[in-house]
Amino acid sequence: MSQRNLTDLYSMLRNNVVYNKHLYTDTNNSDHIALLDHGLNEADDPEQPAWIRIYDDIVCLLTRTQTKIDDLVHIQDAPARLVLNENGGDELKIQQLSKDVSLLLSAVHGKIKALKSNSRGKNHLEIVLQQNMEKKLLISLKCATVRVQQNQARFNDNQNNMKHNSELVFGDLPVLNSVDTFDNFLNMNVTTSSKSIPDDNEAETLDEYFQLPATGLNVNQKQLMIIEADNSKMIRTREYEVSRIVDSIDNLNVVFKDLAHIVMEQGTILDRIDYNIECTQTKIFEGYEQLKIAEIYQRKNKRIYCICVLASMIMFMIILTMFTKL
Amino acid sequence: MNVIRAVQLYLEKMVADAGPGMKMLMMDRETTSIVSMAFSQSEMLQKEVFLFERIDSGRSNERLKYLKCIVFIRPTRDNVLRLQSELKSPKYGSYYVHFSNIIPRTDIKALAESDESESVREVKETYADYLPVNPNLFSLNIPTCLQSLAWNLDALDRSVQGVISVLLSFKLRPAIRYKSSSSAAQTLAKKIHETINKETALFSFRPPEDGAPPPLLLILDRRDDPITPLLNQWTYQAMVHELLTINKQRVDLSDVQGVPKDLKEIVLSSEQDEFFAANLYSNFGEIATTIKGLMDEFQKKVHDQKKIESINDMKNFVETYPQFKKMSGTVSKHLVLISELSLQVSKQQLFEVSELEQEIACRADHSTQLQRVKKLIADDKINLQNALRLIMLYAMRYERHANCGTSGLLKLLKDRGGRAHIVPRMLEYISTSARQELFNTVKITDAVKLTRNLIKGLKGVENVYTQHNCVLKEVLDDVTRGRPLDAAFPIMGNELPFRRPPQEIVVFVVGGTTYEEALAVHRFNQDGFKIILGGTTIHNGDSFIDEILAATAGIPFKHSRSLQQFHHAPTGEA
Repeated sequence: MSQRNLTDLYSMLRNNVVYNKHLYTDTNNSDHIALLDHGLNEADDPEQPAWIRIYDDIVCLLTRTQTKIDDLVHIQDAPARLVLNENGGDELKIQQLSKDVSLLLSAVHGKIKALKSNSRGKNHLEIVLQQNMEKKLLISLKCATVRVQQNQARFNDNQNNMKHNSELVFGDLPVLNSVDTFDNFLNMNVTTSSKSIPDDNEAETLDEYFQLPATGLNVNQKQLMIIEADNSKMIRTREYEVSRIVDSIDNLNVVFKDLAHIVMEQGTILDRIDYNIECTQTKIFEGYEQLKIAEIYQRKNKRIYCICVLASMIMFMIILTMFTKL
Repeated sequence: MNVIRAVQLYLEKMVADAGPGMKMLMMDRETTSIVSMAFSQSEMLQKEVFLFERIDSGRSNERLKYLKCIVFIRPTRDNVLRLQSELKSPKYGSYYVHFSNIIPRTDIKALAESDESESVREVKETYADYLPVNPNLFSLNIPTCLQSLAWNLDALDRSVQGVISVLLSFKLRPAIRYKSSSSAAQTLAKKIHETINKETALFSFRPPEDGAPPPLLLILDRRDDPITPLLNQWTYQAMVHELLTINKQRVDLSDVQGVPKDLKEIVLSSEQDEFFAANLYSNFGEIATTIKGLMDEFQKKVHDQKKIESINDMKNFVETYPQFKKMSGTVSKHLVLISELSLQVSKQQLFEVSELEQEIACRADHSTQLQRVKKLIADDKINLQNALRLIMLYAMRYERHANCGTSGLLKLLKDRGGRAHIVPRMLEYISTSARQELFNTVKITDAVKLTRNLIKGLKGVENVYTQHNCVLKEVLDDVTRGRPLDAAFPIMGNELPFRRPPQEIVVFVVGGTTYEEALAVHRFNQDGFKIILGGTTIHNGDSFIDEILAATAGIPFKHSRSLQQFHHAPTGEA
């Protein structure tokens, strides 16, 4: 794969040209003017629309997500884990990382939505640019999500296997494993896992409280009040949890709609560069034709014609009345 | 040696050179095709290339200063002029200019003079100047390259540039061999040789290790093998090209009835479509079984998708849905193609036609073949295109035969309204070496060939529809076995011929190559050789007939005087 770099030659030639030009024309320009000109040019230059900042943010977030995912994969795949299963450090790290990743992914999706709702560019090119950019971001997001999912699935399988093996070895020792919970399923953009665990614990203790009165028969009013208060608190937390899950399912739905659309497009004629360019060209040509037609219409504007005719007739009448009456 | 990969690497490098940030790609008509055959739009988007524009067509004058502009154009005069006017009033922030071939210094100077705002950051020559069709096949997309049986000058220049860029992409400094009897091949070889010698700096690669033979550039002429493009093909890619025409990996199905709306035009790229990549070279029967397997798998998946009862099922569904969607796209695409192919096969009675074609191409048996050709031509079910091809094959084979019945056949064809005037043109097109060698009119002195033919005859035929071997295969056989080539394929320049077979071979066919030859090359590559095939274009029967008409326009009839009454097309037809 050979290439030839002609940049040096080119800049040499360009410098020559610039030098020659300045040699002959630039003699009477003072420094002020040059500075002024330069300043004007600078002011003219940066015309970046606002959405570019969002785009940069998203790209930054995506790279961060990628590194996090890499870390996660690295830790989950580390063979040391198999040996040092008792060591809780890795577990914690994994939890922390997967939480971060899911947070980041949902953040990215939020940003993309924001970008979408952002005002469209003024002209055709900018609109195409924005569309393509959104597509790119969604594809990257998809890749990241799929990677996380696959990784998670593999990890879960490993865990299950391990659990199975350890059960074989240690008999019916209770092994805590929260693999098949709903939270894990929604892992990609729910902020759950570790955060919800304390809540759950609380809820469980609450449940225990709740079962107390059934056993203890001599309950006084005050205790009942306390229990009721606890109860309502518990209900509130549960409701909160449920609504959050509903939200996240909603979110998931949207993401998957977006992604499915992209997947369908990939590999079809819509994904061909030359086809897209041809499409743009035919559109531009059609627009041009329509403009021409519009121009023709504009020219033979009937109203102006009518006004002219009427005006001349009125003039004629006035002159006629002037002649007949005077 | 994978041409698609080579172009991809070039493009990746190009984009990487421009650094991070939003980019747009400006191309001309030909580079657009090159880029789109290597990468899909979504792949380019992943590289942060968000806009695609053509330099040579109506463009709006919106300014997007925050974009980096990668210019990838062929170094033609027009393109340079357009780039000059673009640089005089730049619309984008910075320019990274890549020319797809060697560019004259004067053009660079002209560009430098018009770049007043100093917005060009880089100027490079990036030698991706050919259309990568398959990993082992490239095309230059020149539909007709000959004029009165000599080179059309534009086509010659383009061919030289194309071959040079292929050599540079793989860092080859080859020994050039050309078909001695073909003046077109010789001219091309000479031009390429001159260019290599002129650009010694570019071609100063690390010399091959001691004793290793240099790579070989082999230049052949279509006129020596006019049979291959005329035969009906039975491998997937070749069939699609023959019956539906592949144009730069795109197949237009808008004429086909009963095609869903989103499949009016489909892409057959071995890069993006795994199924196609796996079945590129499988024959019609195999492809039917594989597609059945694919269907079964797909139906099983559909069944799986239907039952979602537990959360685990949901989870699986979510995970597999994208792949499922992709698979359904592939299945429907290939199903449409295959069903259309099989419809055409039965409608045109291709089995019968193809059997006779192969028979004529491989064996001499005048009286029975004449009878069969007559019978098929009289049959209304055989369309005129196939009838014409049969007559062409017959006319070539039995041109010198005592009871040659070509004129009788042509009369029949004319009565049916066929284009009989093409046959004499065809006889003018084929070269003398084709006349002598192609149909095995072996002299007794040529003992080696005679024995080889005998052995071939004893072995029998595996498949009557694919018994024909293209000339290229025999040539490559000779090359890879290290047989002496100097008589038929002399070396250009005064390099010493190497006895041992070369490691890498680039074959270029003047006048267009075919997918059948690509298959032959593929078989060689499976045996561990490194061979790339290229041609001015990739022919099917119809495009080859067009090429013949263009190449023989206006030349005197020498070989076909006996067919005088058919020399001219009926009025109203070209």
